[in-house]
Amino acid sequence: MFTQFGATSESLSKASTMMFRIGTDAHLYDDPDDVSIVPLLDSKFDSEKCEALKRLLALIAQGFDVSSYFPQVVKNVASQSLEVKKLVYLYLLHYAEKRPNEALLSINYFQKDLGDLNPLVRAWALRTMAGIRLHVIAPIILVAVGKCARDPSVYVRKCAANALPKLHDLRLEEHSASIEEIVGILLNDNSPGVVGAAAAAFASICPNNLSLIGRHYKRLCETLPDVEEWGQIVLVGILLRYAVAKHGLVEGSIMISSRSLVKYNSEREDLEPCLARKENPDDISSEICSEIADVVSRSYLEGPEKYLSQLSCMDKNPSSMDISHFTSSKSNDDVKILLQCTSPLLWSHNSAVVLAAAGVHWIMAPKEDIKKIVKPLLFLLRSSNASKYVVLCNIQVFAKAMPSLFVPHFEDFFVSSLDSYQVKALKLEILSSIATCSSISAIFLEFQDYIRDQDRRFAADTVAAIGLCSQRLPDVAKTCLEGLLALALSESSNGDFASADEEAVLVQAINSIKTIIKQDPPSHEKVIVYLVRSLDSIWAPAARAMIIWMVGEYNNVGGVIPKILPTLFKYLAGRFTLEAVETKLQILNACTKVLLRAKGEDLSILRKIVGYLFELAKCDFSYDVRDRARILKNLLSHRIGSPYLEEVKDQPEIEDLAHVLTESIFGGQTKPPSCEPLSYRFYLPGSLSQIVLHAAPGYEPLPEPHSLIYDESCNISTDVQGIKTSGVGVAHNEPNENDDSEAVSGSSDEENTSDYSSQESMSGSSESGGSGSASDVNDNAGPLIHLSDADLTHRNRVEVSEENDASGSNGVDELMSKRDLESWLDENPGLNQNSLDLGHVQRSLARISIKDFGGLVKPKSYTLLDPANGNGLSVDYTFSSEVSSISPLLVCLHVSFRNCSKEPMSDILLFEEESNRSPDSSDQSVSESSPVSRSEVPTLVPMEEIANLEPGHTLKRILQVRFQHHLLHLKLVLGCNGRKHLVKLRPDIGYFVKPLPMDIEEFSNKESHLPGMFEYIRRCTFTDHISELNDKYESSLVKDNFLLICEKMALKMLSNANLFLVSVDMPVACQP
Amino acid sequence: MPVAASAIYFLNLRGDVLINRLYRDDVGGNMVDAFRTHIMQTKELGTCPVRQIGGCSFFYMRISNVYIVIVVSSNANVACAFKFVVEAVSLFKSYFGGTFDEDAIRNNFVLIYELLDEILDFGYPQNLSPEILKLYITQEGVRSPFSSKPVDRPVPNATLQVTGAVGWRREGLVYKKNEVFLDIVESVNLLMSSKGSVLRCDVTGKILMKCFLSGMPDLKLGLNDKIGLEKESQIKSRPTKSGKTIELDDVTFHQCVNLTRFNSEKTVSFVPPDGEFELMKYRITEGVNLPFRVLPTIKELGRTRMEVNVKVKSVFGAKMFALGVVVKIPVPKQTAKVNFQVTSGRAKYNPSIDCLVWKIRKFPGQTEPTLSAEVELISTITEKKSWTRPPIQMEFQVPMFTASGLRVRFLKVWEKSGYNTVEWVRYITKAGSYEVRC
Repeated sequence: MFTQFGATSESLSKASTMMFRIGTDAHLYDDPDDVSIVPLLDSKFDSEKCEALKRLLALIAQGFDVSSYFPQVVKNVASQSLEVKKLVYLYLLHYAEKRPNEALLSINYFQKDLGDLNPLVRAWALRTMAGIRLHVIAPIILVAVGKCARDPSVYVRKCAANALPKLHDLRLEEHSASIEEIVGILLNDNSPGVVGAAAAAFASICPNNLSLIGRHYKRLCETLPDVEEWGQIVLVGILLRYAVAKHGLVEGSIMISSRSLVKYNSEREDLEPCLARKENPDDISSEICSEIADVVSRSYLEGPEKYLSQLSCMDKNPSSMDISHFTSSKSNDDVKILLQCTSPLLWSHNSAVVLAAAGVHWIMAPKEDIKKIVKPLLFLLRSSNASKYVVLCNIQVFAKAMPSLFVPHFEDFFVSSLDSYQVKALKLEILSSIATCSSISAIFLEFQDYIRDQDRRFAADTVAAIGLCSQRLPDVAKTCLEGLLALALSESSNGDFASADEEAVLVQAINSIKTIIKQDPPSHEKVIVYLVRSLDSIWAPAARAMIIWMVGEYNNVGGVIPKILPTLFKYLAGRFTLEAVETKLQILNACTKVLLRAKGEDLSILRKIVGYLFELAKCDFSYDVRDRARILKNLLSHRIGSPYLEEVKDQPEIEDLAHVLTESIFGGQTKPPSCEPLSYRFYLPGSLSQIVLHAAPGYEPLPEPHSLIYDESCNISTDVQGIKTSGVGVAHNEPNENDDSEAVSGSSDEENTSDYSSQESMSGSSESGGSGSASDVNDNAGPLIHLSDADLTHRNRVEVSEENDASGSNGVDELMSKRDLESWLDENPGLNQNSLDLGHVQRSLARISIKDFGGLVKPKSYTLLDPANGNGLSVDYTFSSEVSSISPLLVCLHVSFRNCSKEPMSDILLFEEESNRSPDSSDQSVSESSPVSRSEVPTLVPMEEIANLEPGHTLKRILQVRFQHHLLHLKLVLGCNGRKHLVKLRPDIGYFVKPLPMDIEEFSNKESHLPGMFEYIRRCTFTDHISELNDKYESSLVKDNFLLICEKMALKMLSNANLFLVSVDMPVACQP
Repeated sequence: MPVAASAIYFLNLRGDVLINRLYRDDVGGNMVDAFRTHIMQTKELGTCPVRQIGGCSFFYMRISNVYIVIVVSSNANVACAFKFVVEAVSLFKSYFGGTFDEDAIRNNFVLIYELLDEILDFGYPQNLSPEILKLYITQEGVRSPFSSKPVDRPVPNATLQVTGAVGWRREGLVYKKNEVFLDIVESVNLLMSSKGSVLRCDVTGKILMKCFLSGMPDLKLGLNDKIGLEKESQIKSRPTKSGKTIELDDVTFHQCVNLTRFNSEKTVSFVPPDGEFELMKYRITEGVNLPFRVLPTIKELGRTRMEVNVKVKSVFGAKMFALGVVVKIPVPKQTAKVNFQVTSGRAKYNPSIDCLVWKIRKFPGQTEPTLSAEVELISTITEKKSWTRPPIQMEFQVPMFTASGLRVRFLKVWEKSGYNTVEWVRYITKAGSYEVRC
């Protein structure tokens, strides 16, 4: 409407913008389509562009696809107006992935904006550019992030930190080292705001690279209170992980209390219960529930799945920790400072921060200090309903493991009428686990109120909670029983038109009574009799079934029950046809049990009744009842003189057998409730997994205590010792983590992606140990580096040729000469057969070759099918470096199928999409057993079909795929339950690589065949080592820095799963 | 673990998407449909705020007539996500002028998109302080001076603030009159048995602050709380003055308060944000002065009649008075007719909530008005179950009264320029869930 005017003259357009400003954007939202958008976008006035963009945003918000405007929108990115820019950015982010080619057009403008004087413009440009999730521009973004990480403005640095996870998410293995390097830089930032964002980046990129934290640990702890609240949450988690990995668990904390008590019988055992008793003189059971605490601590460390599976295969594996592993919060500075710095956070405004800080204290603080988390946690119960639920979920665990914490505060868990059902149920559970003799009366008063609640489901839960309380506190069992009986009676009185919910209370009441009786049947005989008497009024089938079960179970307890049995069974037989199936089955069971114990004249009466019952059951509608009757009848044939009796008599041994069988099935009294294995699942406090009670994707338990060995200097020396003595194979592994201060890295000053040749010289002093390039020694490392030359003293020249494949990243592979690459790649299989021990390797060469780095580098998992699209079937795949047995051209993949749904799945199979078959591969048949030639290698070796996959189960299959050296997606079809899902397999160039040993001439020959590749030359000059070498020459070369460098370099490249052609010249001028 | 929200949706009650913003591509676009079919269309809605459907987790909250749904695909910090939603809503409210509902979203959708871009970067929550965000994300559009000629101009002031050391206050503020307003708002939660014994009682209070101060002032707040006073007397090595001291059970502070200093010195010192904010929250469970006592007697006379007598006693000072007192006395569903007699205020039967509602606009201290009512019930056939008698609820506001007895002892403002400030302090006590069983 106004726009027509606006297009005519400038003044009017200004007026129209004024008008727009007066109103709101609602009219744009409601009918964004009422004017044509394209001319507005092409207008020369910013206001009109803005309006057009707002209309587009409205359409996006309402779910329309407006990607067709992309070209017109993108060119507006050049606009000088910040507002237009911002709106264009929003649009770009939404559609960039759909229109990658057009999105690339905007990159130049972003780069220009990155040089803007206004930090806001720089930050927004970076943020948007990182948000455009295209592999092609990833290197450019990386350079930009690196630059912005050193920006003078805090805001820009923060944006750089936020851009890192986005980059990481693009799965750029080849860049992960530089990404981690930038994380390290940002973690070291002066501004707390940046540190918070960097912590978030760290947690998502390299959460296990704890050595990076070690360098800044103290400073991070000190800045913790100043970091913004969201960063605090992440940082607290990281610091906790570091502290556990570095120093292990804290002596006297909840995590090891139980074990140390049980195992070491230290003085504390006597000491602590005393302490506890002083605090709660009337209470014994409220001290730490050691068994649960033990489960909790193990769950935190190992993850409940693993722990539970261990539990099932071995009853109790003795924990392998010894006391020397524990540290003390008093003596250890790192732990002390962590606790000190997190305790002010308990007063934070942000409930998540409080929870995170409480989690640290829970795990790390000594038991007597944990108390300080209680009140802040309880205060969180005042926040919004949703947060309340989350906090209660966590308190529940704390309360279970250490009831004494919450015992004095039981009133805080009283239910208020505004709580939602879930919250009420949680509160009940907590109450029943923290009830003590002194508080139980108040709690029961409160419970009485709950039972009258309108929500019968909640009332039933209350009744169950009463049962639990009485189990924990046997003193109150009698009171409970009386109350429950009265309740059962009053509930049953209005049972005529009771709904299922109403019944629940009654059933639960009987159930609770049952559990109480179980503890001491003889003293509760009267209760059973009483219940039997009221059978007439109790109508809920489940409740009746339970009462009848009790009669059967305790039929010879006391003096009264045996007497009433005949009458009771007469009554039951009379009503049998009217009962529900559940009750009928219980009647049959009970009468069997009774018959086994009956004596004298009762026996004859009972026999008759039972015979009658079996006859009735034989004609029952339910096959369950019929079957049960038939089985029992045959089992009992010796007791009831049935028609089959004669037959059986002929075979007395069968009769005996039947007798023994019945006795052992029904005769034995059930044992008193034994300690069932604790099958609670515990996850780290504050995590989603703790709320949904299963490991959410990405959940990681605490790191192994003491897994981080940081003392670097001694580490290296032991390594070298290893090299020297063994001489042949040295196991040295550096998991997928990198040090940013390593000699080879340092990709700071690239300006452009196409020009990657820069030179940099470094002094060797940084490398030789001081600044701390931490390396981890992992016990499971396989031999990675073979040194064929053990005679180090005579060496003049070390030539390391670490041979790999050569190729660039996704973005630049077009740049290379394709033919060369193909020929290079295709020669691999032939050469691969060469034995590793090549004769022509010169004596003076130390050769590093790759054997299998699959075990060393943690493979990255990709999603093939996510459960939302696949009806609950989730399929992930990882590449493995195994060499295929069929053809070396095939790449092996580990595919794991997981059933996330509730139903079992069948017939899961991955196969090739028919239409996708290229003509030259269509004639391939799988069954060929002869050595397949190259052209006949199938694209996909069919996998073994998964016939059935139960819910929650995971199955793994190995898939062999030929990608034809293309980086294109491989389209496959996933069949499941007869349905077909189209899936795409994304190749990873790193796994096309196969090891290929060759000598120098061959190597340089090959090298000359590969012109125009990514070249990246670094020159390092080391001087220190020579002097060291000279010094220690007599002591037979303790340190060999060359080898260390070679190892590091090889590891670095391998851990990136990246492809390089690396040649290293290392002349040694070592003259004593 | 961070929040790592993969997507955030704003839905109206019918399930239409008002705003959607995808941050990561690990969740599909059809996630809203899953939410609609599995949560919105079932009874589950509103019971459990965390649900998992097919590998994705949904955290949702209802705010007026809008659902805010956060979709997460991996392990995330749930508490953080909910806190984020709460904070975001208060941010939107401050932008939209106090309301947050479907219409407000429609009116400001562009702004919301811009804010969502700013406050949640790739699923990680960022600075949510309205004071700062308003500097560079504005409704009027950033037609700021640097948009025309960014190269020539010096970096504008606004952007410096974003990058400043104090994340919640910008530099260079000037006020002609330097004023601070302190509001101490307490809400009393009470659950009392019919016999008059207190089952549960606590006070949750918050200190709201409104600052109009120039420059970068450093403020220090002194309360009559026990810990702070003890610490102070330790330092000054002289005994505390007589008078009531309060034991604050739990406190949480706005992020501007220096927590390390509170930890060591027990003083509340801070550089306040400009404008209005919540300085601290606290809770007190002991020594609560209840402003009202309620003494109900309800007699069921046969099946069709009931007699209700309620006496409400105000126990605060005679010079003070309470405002907006409402007493809700529940009656059975089958109530037909009620006859009232009240000594003060007005009463009526409200059938929609099954309550007798007794309103007293102005309620002076040290008085005890009564209500007596005769309730006639319709006798029904199915009326077999006894009436469960929900508790009597009460609402009120008492100005210049604190249930906890908390008082502000001093508020020191220190600024480089050394200007004088005027401080205003108000107290008010409200009813939280003030319930008396009958």
